[in-house]
Amino acid sequence: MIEKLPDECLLEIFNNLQEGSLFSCLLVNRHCCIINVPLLWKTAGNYLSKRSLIETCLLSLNTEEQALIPSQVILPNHPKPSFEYTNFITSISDRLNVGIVDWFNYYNRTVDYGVNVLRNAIRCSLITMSLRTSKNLIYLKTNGAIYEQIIKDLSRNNTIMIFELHNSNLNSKGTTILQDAIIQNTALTYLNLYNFTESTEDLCNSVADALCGKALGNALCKNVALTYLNLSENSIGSKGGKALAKAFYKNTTLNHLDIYYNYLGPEGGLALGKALNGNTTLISLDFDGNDIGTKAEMYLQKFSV
Amino acid sequence: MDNGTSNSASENETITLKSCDGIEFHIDARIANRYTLLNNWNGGESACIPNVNGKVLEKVLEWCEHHINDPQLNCGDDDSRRRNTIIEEWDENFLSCDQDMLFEIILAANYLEIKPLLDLGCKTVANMMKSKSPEEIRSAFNIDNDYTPEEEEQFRKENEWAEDY
Repeated sequence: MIEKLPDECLLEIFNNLQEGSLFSCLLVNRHCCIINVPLLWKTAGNYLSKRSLIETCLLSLNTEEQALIPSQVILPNHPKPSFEYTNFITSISDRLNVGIVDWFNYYNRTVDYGVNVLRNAIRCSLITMSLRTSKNLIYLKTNGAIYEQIIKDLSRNNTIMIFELHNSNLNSKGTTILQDAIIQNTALTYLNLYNFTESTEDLCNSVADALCGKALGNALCKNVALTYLNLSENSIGSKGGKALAKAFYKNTTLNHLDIYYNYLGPEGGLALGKALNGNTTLISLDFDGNDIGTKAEMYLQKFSV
Repeated sequence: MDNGTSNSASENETITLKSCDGIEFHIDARIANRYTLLNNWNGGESACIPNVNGKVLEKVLEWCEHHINDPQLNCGDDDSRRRNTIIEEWDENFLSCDQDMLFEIILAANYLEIKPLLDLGCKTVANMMKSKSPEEIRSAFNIDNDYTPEEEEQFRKENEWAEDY
């Protein structure tokens, strides 16, 4: 009798269930499986610390993505997955790192040299795969060295709204690519580059250019939505602060800027203060721990709580 | 009728609904006003509901009558609605009918666009599936397993990460 219900009703029913019960329903029969897989995998991103989820995701790698992983790593060799499961993933958090460590230690016990490099490669490969397959990826957070190609892929992505990238080790070329990605991504609203890279001056120039891309008449500039930016703990310094400041004469999208602990100093602080003096879009600014001095602080008074 | 506000029916007004097997129900016009589809049919003083038989329509209308004074919630794709599986006692008793009737009510609520009743029915079925193994769900709802053993094993492996939640 339950078979008489149309799919829309079955979907309503399954929508009330948690992952464990969705798992059971998925195994009931083929029809239930087709309806359940998108529901279950929508939240899979929350479970990336599980070794068995990493295993299934690794099965979804294509040849190029497999090639990103050095051959010492023994990848699973069972058949391709029954579904393009990763299509439905909506978020990838840094729990991915935990899952990879667990997976790696379980299946690659014998490898004891350059383990971190290998794990990084697995992470980059999996993120590349997700960017290729997921039609619904909204949130991406990654912690650790990252391949430039991922940033390139990001510029072609039009679903990610929240992007958090830490300890990326990107060099100056990488930050230029990041600039393109910010400009070209249409969905991005929240960008967190806390403790992002060592090439900080390049980063500031890139971000500043991206932030006023539209105002500069950059025809490629498709992003209209960036409202939150975190550049904290990047050792930006006074030079970087000045580079960044120029963006705020022009940018009209950003509401929140976090820039704490960046050694801005009085010069960097003043440049930023003057730029923000006439800026009416920015609502909140966290500039703690920059030793900017009293003069700059006066300009930034409206942001003090 | 001379009241200018045609949309708010007064307490004494009734209309007649007819099920697909010809059984007539005289209902408070406020019920029809509340649900879009019933309202759309209410051109005159009676309306015919194809697809829903008398037995089921009686149950559906009983539910509507009991909930006539509920605040009208604007429940679109609200996530707070989702996964909140608490059901009031009256509703629980109301839906502790046999399975066939439960599914008929869901079908009718879906067809008549009575969203809160549809939600309730679906939650009830979901509660019956909770914490059960695939085999237990199959036998509870009399569902045939059309997987080959190999297929089932593959699906189990690929989705194993979700099993303990």
